[in-house]
Amino acid sequence: MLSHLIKLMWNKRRANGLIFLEIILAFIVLFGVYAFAFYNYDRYSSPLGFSYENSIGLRLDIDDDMDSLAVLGLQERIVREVRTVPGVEAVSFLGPVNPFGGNNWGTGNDDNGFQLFTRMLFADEHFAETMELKFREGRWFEKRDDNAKYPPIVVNGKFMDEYYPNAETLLDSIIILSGDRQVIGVVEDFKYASNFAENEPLTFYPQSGFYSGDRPPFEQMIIRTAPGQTAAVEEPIYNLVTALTKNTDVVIWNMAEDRIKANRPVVIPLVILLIISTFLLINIALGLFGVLFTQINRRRAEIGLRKAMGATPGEVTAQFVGEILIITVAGLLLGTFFAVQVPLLELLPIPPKFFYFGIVAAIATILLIVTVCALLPSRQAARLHPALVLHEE
Amino acid sequence: MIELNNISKSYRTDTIETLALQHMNLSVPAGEFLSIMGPSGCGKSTLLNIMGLIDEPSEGTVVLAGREVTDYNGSKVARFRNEQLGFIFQSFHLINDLSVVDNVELPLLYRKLGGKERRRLALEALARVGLSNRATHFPNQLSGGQKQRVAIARAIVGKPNIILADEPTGNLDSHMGGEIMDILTRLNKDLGTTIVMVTHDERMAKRTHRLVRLSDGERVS
Amino acid sequence: MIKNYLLLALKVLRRKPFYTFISLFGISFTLMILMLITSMGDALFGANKPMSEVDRMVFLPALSRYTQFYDTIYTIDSVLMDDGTMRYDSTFDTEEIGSNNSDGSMSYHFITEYLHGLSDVSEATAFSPSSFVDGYLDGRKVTFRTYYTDGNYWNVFDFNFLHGLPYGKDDVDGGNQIAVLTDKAATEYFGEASDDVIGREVTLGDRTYRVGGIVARPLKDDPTIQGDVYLPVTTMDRRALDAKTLEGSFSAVFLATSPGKRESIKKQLEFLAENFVMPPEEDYEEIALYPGTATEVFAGGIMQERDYDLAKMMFFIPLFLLLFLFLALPLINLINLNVSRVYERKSEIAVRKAFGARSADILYQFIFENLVLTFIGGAIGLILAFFVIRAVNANDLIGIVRLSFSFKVFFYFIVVIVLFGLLSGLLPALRMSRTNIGTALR
Repeated sequence: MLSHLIKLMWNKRRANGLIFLEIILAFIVLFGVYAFAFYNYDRYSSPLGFSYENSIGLRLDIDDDMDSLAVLGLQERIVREVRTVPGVEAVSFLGPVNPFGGNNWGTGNDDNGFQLFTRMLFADEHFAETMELKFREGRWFEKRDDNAKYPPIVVNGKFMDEYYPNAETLLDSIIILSGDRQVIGVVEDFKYASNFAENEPLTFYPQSGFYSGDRPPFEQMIIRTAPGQTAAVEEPIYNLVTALTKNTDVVIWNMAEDRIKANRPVVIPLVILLIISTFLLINIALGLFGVLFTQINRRRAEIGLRKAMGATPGEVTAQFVGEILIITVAGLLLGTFFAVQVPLLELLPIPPKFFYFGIVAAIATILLIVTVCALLPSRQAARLHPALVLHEE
Repeated sequence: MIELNNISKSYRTDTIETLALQHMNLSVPAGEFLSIMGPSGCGKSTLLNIMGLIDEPSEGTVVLAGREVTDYNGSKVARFRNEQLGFIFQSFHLINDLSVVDNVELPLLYRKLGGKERRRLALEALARVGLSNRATHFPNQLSGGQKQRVAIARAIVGKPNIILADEPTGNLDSHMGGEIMDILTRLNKDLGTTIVMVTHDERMAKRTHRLVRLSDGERVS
Repeated sequence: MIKNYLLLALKVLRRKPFYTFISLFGISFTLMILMLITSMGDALFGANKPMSEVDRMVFLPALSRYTQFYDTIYTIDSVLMDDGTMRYDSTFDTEEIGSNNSDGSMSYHFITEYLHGLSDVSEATAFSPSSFVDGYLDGRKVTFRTYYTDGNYWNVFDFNFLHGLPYGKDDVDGGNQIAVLTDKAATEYFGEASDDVIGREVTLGDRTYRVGGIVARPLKDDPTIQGDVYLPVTTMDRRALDAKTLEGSFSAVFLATSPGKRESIKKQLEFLAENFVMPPEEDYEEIALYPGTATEVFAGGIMQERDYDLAKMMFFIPLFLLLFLFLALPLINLINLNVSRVYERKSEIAVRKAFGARSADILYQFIFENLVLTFIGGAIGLILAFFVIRAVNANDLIGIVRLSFSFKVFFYFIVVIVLFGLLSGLLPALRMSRTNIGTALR
């Protein structure tokens, strides 16, 4: 039966060429969209590792003429006084990189062939409490670390998994990252660019390892409030900080809103792609349905003949569905051949597994649509009375 | 009116060549009502198609209205078909998506005529076949006899000199077939239209002026 | 004749509602998306105010300072001599192994000192686009993005002044505290954007400015024109303005005398960077400038690629490929549907031919039918696009960018409809017109 159908389809290859072409193109589009969606879903599902829901960010301007001792004193005073604003739960200073802010710092090191690359984030001793970080081991920076022999760092879980997968613990290890540094803690997860950022190795540095000579002090803050208090605390904090810094150059933003903005570069194309692909699928399904309907209707005599010769309605249905599936499978095979080149030749810097997921999902979707579209007209045709059909001709 | 000189027609497939007509000579004078009979596959339809310039002979010449036909595909022959010929088919071939009067108007679409004029001529042709009251119906709302009368109206709406009818009564019962024959006879008598009709039915053939019998692509009588 | 074809086409479409629906669905949605894309392209790249002269603009957003590292590689060749002894030859090579660089916007000093006097430039401007200022007004928080610009800024960018005037060179030289606000900022601050606002005072940070003009907010997401408030450059922090470093917060835009002269300006800037003598106090040895046209800078920014030709390829080739696929699919679908209906209408065509239609008549008829279908689909698509654009604009779905219908977009749209109609009708119509009458009427 199968070879009979394949022969039939081969003889009709010209008539079926357009369907074949349509299947290939649809497969390629779906493959791309699925791979893109899976890849981003995977990144989305790796947690940020910090709380942002009830936090605001703040940027202030500290007078450049102040000496470092005065700066530290001012920062301490700001933290202390902001902490007393009703609704505020935790306050922390951080360096030039802030979560969802759009900038990125990174550093690399090649220690006798051992290559290491890490994102960087600079924060004070209150940061872990403010962001509600979860620790795998060790602890966050404390005041006493300023006098330690080696400057302390805290790394994220990915850092440990990527570079020291077999280590029991990283605590007290000395790592060369712009000088010798001692690991004092490992947090579970932490990525800050957006929900769609890659989960990359990351290292936290305290202000003491940052603010020196040509670099400015920490001039950004994160303030966590009680649930629902973010809007209410903004004005008192603004007034407080402008008074303390004697400078009105203070900007406050909402971190939850910033997160949505940071996700936008991925979410907007993704949503547009999904809407357009859905439309394309509906369009293809309707078109295929119409084409199969006319094609099958044109063969009423053949159906009558087959039924007169003893084919059951099920067999007639199976024949038509089988025919169209043969074209589909042929198109999918060719499409898959093109699609696997993307991971095999490493054309894009995305792990290959997402492309294979994409191929499988695209094949499944197209087979499902084609089967549904073929089933309806086939079943209708298969119910025809042979005598009626033959008489018509 | 129609002259076929030494016409042969063969169909060729990959392996075999079948001869549908062999050295056929036939002359139809203006105003004649001619019928052609013969068993299935004897070449009747092929002969009619060649007369109607729908099919091209492999050999021989066709002279229609005093002019020899040399080109079977150009726009000249299309114009000629439009002005001189009317066709009636066994299975009617009405366009199901168009209403009765639109179907009848069809030949006039390929002439330079205003819409009102076309409509007037189409309704006139429908009146001639007695279907004025069905003008706005669609073909699938009509009986077989009515469909064939629409087809006749369509064939005569352009006032052609020749009507070619391929088994016009073949799909109809004898009562309806009789009615169709009445209409054709009246056309022939009133307007002097030349009619060539292929038929299976001896009774219909008897009502025409002359009968030509074919067998295996050759004229028997 | 056209009226006949039109009536006929409409009749056929009405008699086959199912196929008409399928076709219209595909056509209208596809054309709607095309409409949105053309409108988006126009919003992003079109020569609209305040960038009417975008075809003459060369953008210089940043400066790169770098130091190249070289490594010396020794290669030792050993050759076995005839007498059995080894001879050693050594060669050495220096090779770039990397560079240490710092990228950022430029200082006002750098732009005014080094980038003036280029030929083929009709206007040039320097501006600092990167500051924000928060203010509290009766308990409301307002955040403004402030641009500090020179007087030429208003000559390079033709902002639409709704009220008042821009500040000029004299105002800038004199350090006059005059502000130009967008209508949105004016409404936010004063509750209205009208002539009454001109001359009133606006307090930004610790300074107070007099409102000199109100401009329509640009409907374009471009870092050179995104300000809410524009201020004379001389009113900014003196230390930042007078700093003699190379890096600062400024960008530059040059307006060429003609679009063709942009290359010349780019060449001059690149030449200038190559021959730049680094001041001794800088940490780096060399500088590089990456001037580009609007599209080049846009593609380069998205692709994070400094080679603009490569960036354009990386950005536009996949984009056009994607667009091609998204267009090809509905088109093939429509062709397929039409072709399969050719068979259904075989007898109709044969009858028409028997009654004197020429092949060309049949061809025209089907192409025309198809065009009618595409135009109806196009009209529906246009209406859909209108509502989508309204929704997008009302909800700021793509940021500040405003999509709009314009004559140009409408023209593209008509071209697209005709192309779509012709393409999807041609193949089926050709097949139809070739139908053999004899066999079809059997």
